[in-house]
Parts: sequence; C-alpha cells; structure tokens
Amino acid sequence: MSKETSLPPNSELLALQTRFTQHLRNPDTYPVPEGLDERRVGIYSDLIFQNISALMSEFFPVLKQLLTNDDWHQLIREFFINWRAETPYFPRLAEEFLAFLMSRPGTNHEPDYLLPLAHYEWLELYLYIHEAELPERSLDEETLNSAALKLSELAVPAAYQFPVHQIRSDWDVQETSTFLLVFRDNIDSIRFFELAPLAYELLSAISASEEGVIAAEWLKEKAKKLGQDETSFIRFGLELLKQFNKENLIYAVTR
Amino acid sequence: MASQLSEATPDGIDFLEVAPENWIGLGGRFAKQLRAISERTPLIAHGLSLSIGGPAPLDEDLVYAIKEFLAQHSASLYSEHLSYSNDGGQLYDLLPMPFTEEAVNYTANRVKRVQDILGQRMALENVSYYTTPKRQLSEIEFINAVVTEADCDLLLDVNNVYVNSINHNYDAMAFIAAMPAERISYLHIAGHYYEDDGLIVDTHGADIIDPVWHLLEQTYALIGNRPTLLERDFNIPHIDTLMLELNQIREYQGANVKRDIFTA
Repeated sequence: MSKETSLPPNSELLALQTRFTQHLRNPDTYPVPEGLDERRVGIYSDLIFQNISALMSEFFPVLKQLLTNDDWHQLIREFFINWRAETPYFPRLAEEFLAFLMSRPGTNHEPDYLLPLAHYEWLELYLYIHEAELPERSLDEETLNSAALKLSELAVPAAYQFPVHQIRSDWDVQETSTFLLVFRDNIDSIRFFELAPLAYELLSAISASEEGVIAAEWLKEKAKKLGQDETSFIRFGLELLKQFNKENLIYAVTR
Repeated sequence: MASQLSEATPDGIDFLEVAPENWIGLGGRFAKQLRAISERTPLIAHGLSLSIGGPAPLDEDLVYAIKEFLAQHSASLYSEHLSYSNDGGQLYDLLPMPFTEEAVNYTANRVKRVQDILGQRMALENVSYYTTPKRQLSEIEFINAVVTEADCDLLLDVNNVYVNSINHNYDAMAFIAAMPAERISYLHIAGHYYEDDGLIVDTHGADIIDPVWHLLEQTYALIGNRPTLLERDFNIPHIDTLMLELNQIREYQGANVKRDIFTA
C-alpha cells in the first residue's frame, strides 16, 4: 500500500477532483462533470461563490458598496478563475484579494479609485489584526528630538491619488493627492492622521529606515534642499512629530 | 460572539470550539478576546482549510501552526473535515470526496502524517455532501475505511447525518449505527437551511429542528454520551437562546442510561 501524501499525475482521484473544481471555478468554460446532477453540483458553485463574496464584502465594505452588483460578481468570478489563493487563514484572504486586484488589468467602466480604495480597506484590516503592540509609553521630548527614530509597525504612511479615507458614495470622488498615517491606537481601534506632503515624506523616511532617522538631521537636510530657514523648519517638523508621539507610534532605536 | 464571550463564559458551557484558521497569526483586539476566553474556558480546534483529502500537497506549515495554536491555548483536540478545499488554490469550502479506494488510501496517509506532526490523534468529521464525483464505496464504507486505516477518531456530526439522509435517501439512525462508536470522540449538532425542492443545504445558521434533536437522543442511547458541540456559524442569536439549546443537550445526556461511559 502506498504511503504517498501527494497524488501521481495519472491518479484517478486527481482527475475526478480537478474536473469537479474546474467546473466550480469556471462553470462557463468547464461543463458539469459527466454523470453528475447539475442542480447538486450547483449547490457547491453557489456555496463557494457566496462564501467568498460574503467574506470580501466584510473585508472591503466600501468597495462592495460602490461597485455595481455585476462588477462585484465579475470580480469574484475572476478571482476564482484567475487566482489561486494560497493562505489557509481567513483573515489573510483580504491580502489575497488585494494581490489579485493588483494583478489584473481592470476594465474601462470600473472606477479609477478601485485599487487605491481596496488598498486602504486592506490596510485597515492589516493593522487591526497585526500581531505587534504599541510601545508602552511615548518618548520624552529630548529623545524625540535627538534619538534615531523608528515608526511602530502599527503605523503606516500611505499616499493615494484619491481621498480613500473619505469615500462613501460614488459621485463625490474627486482625484486628490492624499497622504495618510493609518494606525492602530492603544485601545486597538484603527484611526488615521491626514498628512501634509512633507510630513508624509518624513514619516515615510522614518518608516523605511532600518537603523532609524534622527528627525532634526533629516529636517535640516530637507530645509537646505528647499532653501528654507533651517531653525524654524526643524522646529516646525519636531512639533509635528509630537502628535504622533502622543499616540505612542514612535520609538527610539538604542544604538 | 467572541467579544460577548471574552467578558464572561456563561455557566453551562464546558468547552468552546474555534477554527484555528480564523485565529492563527492574529493580534490586536481579536487575539486579546481569544486569550481571555481560553484562559477561562477549555478550547478545542476544528479546522477548515487543511484539505485533508485534496489534490494539493499537504500544507505541513499549517499543521505545524495548528500544533503551536493547540499548545498556546491548551486545546486538547483537533478535528478536520473528511473533505477537501484546495485544488492548487484554496476554495475555502468543503468539497465532496469521491468514495473510492484510492481516496481512502490517500486520505488516510495524509491523516497519519498530520497525526505524526501533531504528536496526537485527530478526529475527522463526516461532512454534509450533495453529490460525489464517484461512488465506488458507500459513504459508510468510505468513512469507516478512512478512520480505520488512518487510525484516527471520528467527529460525528449528527446534523450532517440528517441532512445527508434526506439528500441521499437513507436511514439516518442506521447510518449512525454503522459508524465505529469506539472512535467517536465528540458530536456536532446544528441547525440548517431548507431548500424548497427536496434538497437540504447545511449552513449552521438556524435553530436545531426536532428530527435532529430526536436523532441526537437516539445517538446517545446507542453509543453513550459524548461531548457535544452546538455549532452556530452565523445568524447568531443572543447567548441566552443558545443556552436553551445547550440545556436541551444536557437534558438528553442526563436522561440517557448509558451516560458516563465516556467522559470529556
């Protein structure tokens, strides 16, 4: 008796299962497997479709609301046909769906904000379920001003071409450069700060840095480049960091 | 539900069942709620995504993650569905196994591998199914062969037996009598949803109906009491309503003369 835990290519079981799931994924192209009752097989087609549709509506509620039913159904169907989701974990399915959305060319009649909005909704969930915790306390002012700083994994600077955090209904979505710091606060709620472009740049630099960024130094460089007065520019920048520090989003790297 | 239960576990709940695939790798509020629950109430794990009989390679990373999850929450028991969900990509649903010798052998090998990794036995659940791609064996023969060859336990889902008995036109009690009683480690009971023209679809989203209650009572009488889980996946009513159903289970167990043969 075989001890195999994988199926050989000539396996009957493999053929039976493949024929079955091919039809479930793409019923228009692959017919109901021969000898099986269409209505009974149809229960499975409906179940997998409804299940994913319901989960995605939970993960991407605004997107679901803004797309027409036809567009939404088309997306879910494409997900089954063109995507092979790997994660066994249900909350990670949002990530799979976003990756799927990013892999596809899109269609003319889909809104331009589809991808940015999906990314934002994914980001909210990503932070909500992230395993990291915020630092216990905020930094004192001396440390904030002079230490190499890093951003908590629970705070993500994000730039969008649409005001994704405000999108509620289809007709008021105007293209606007939008910079956000999306974060999970110390009672595990998801919130955001709207950022000026420069604040976004600073936070992105801190977020991307491996060894941490000394804010005053970064601001000084920036002031030089922009031809701004260094002292007031640095003072302004450090003042700005205080509000993120108040939420415990920043920690200092000990070198 | 988790937020309700993380505050307090009502008296009369002996254990709770969670799908590890909903909780592994989670932080934040959900993780804190689960920790609060598992510190107070024994948990068991009921998997959804292992695809034990499926054509894709066995997801051993998942098995190791489940092992860690069981340890982390002191969960004593792990069960999965005698089914598959992965054809090279996850379909996130419980698809019907072909009832063939090859499927028995293949599935049993994979169960053995899982049990080796976990260092403990697992239980397989009889699923509700609406069709099967091939019926070389009967469902009874198929289930018996898999659990015997794998030397694993059986999670007998009484509601699924009922649903299948209607959908495939057989005697539910005769089916239960043909299951290997000594391997049945626990039971599931649930409500389901009716389709209009003769087929019943299992959803775990409704109250338990009388024939299923009756079947549960008869099952206790036949095999003795077993730990019994009330499944409710959505349309979840207030906890008090669920407690009424739990009390009904307890009543049947209390009335059963074969009680205490097996203990949780």
